[in-house]
Amino acid sequence: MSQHQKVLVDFGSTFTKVVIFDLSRESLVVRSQAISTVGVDATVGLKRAIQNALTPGINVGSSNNYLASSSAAGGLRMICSGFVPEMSSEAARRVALGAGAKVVETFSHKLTRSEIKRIQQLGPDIILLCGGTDGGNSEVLIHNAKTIAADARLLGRVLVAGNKETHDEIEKIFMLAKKSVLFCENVLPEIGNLNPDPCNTQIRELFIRHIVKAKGIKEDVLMPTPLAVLNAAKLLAEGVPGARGLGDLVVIDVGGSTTDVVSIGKQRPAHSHTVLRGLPEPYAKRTVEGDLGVRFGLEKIVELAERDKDSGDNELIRYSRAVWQTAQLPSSDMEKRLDSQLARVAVEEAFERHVGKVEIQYTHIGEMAYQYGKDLTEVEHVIGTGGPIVFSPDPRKILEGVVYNRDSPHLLKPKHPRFWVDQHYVLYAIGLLAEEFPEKAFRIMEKTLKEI
Amino acid sequence: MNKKWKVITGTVGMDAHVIGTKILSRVLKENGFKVIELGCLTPVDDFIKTAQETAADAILMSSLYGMAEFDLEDFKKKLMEAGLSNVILYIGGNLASSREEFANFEQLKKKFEVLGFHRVYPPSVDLVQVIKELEGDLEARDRSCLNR
Repeated sequence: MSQHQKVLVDFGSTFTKVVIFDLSRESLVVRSQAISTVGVDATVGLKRAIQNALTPGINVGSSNNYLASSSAAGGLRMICSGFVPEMSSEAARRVALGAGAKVVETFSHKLTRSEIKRIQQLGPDIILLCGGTDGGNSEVLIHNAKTIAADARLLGRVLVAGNKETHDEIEKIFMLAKKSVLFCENVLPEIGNLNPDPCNTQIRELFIRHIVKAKGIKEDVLMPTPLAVLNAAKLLAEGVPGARGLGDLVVIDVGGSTTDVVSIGKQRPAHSHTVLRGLPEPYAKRTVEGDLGVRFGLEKIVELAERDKDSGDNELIRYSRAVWQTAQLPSSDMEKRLDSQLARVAVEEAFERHVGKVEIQYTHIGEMAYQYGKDLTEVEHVIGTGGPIVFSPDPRKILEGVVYNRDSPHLLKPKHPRFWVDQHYVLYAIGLLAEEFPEKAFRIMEKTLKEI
Repeated sequence: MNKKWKVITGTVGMDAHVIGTKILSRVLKENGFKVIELGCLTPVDDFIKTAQETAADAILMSSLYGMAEFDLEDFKKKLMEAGLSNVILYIGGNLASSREEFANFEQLKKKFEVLGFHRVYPPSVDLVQVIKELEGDLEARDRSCLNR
């Protein structure tokens, strides 16, 4: 019966994907996709994807049975602007990433004319303006707000998440410029305190209400695709009443254009004599490496493969160069094996950038250990998703790139994790379903994840 | 004083001494200051970045392990670079790195004034006096800003 089935849609950049779950059996019914038609009329691609999914017994019912995410038309593109690079600018960037956005560029200090021009060229969906702790510096944020309001060519939605003392004046500035502006709580209300949630909520509202429609999708989209994956990760870590979660975990999502890493867990010092340094990291931390996709822009991966070259790897370098030219999917067994190796290179590098690091400084009072970022050494579960992992003949080999290595002891990578693969490639759908049925979503996820 | 002044406290460099800066912070709070406590083991750059982001009025640095001069070599330059030439700077604690220096406080004081500090305090100090001086310095600074 249709009320027992839920359709989860993802409007991707290349494909429109459909996943159908049976809610009473709490299982996956089918997964299908069709070429995206978002540029023309998103509904066409969606209907085709559903057609591809339909077999007797599947009744998708009316359109209010869908929940959708989207990464189409470039996804949620954001520009972040703050004051001090390591403080409010970095806070802005982290919050935007945690909202599932693609942070196209981050600026610091007062914006110059050429930076404004760059913002205009980049054409972001949202401009996130931060700067100053509450009661702190106002000058930079007000200057930036004035400059942005004054430029008629800047069409992105403006969201102010900085020093609250600037709100009244910025409101006036935008009123005079006849432009709209939104406000939310400061992402950095005081030094050492990252406050992502109110801003994330506001970003999501903007995405749902305005941005998705502007990209040509009439369907109700709940969130950007990366946020759906992030939510699935959180759900898996936390569990639901009656079912314990896995605890702190890592999700690796290898894609054609980017490799994303999500770590769920509080930031804690690795040892009792370790001092935490730097801006606090969010409990649900997401990083996106735009130069580590395994199909587009392989320059960095080729560079890394060449650097780690040993006797057998010339073959890998040749293959990676070929893929760089053609972006073709692997067909032969050998190509699949090499493609997995490329994915492994991407995973190692992406994870190295994401994970916390310890820096030992030798002082006259002894060794001091400074920790930047999260200690993931005790993480017990690593989940892989994304085509290159899901369709690989040996996904475990790819994911092992995240394991602690005694040659780089300063990288706080997991020491003894278990590995899982999102074998049906439905993690986004779990994240979407969790919006309405978190317990069912959790139980379906338990069934669809395969330990490897 | 009608506005709440913002001051940053902390122990600079690799110094884990924390009691002095905690006592100082508490007394400042009791006297109506808004205190941003960075605690011990605070790198010089953190004082600067925090002062920028919070638009702090003063930085009251503590140092007890005798390495302050080493830690603060280019402090003044960094402050100017960060546009913080208007911030009142105090330092106190045990600033001497040798017995000779310890014995000659006046010379030590000059050294730290050259590094950029407005007032330099010896190990034993009356915090009530410090607060009076701080309020005086802040009021004088505010007046001169208005007169510009």
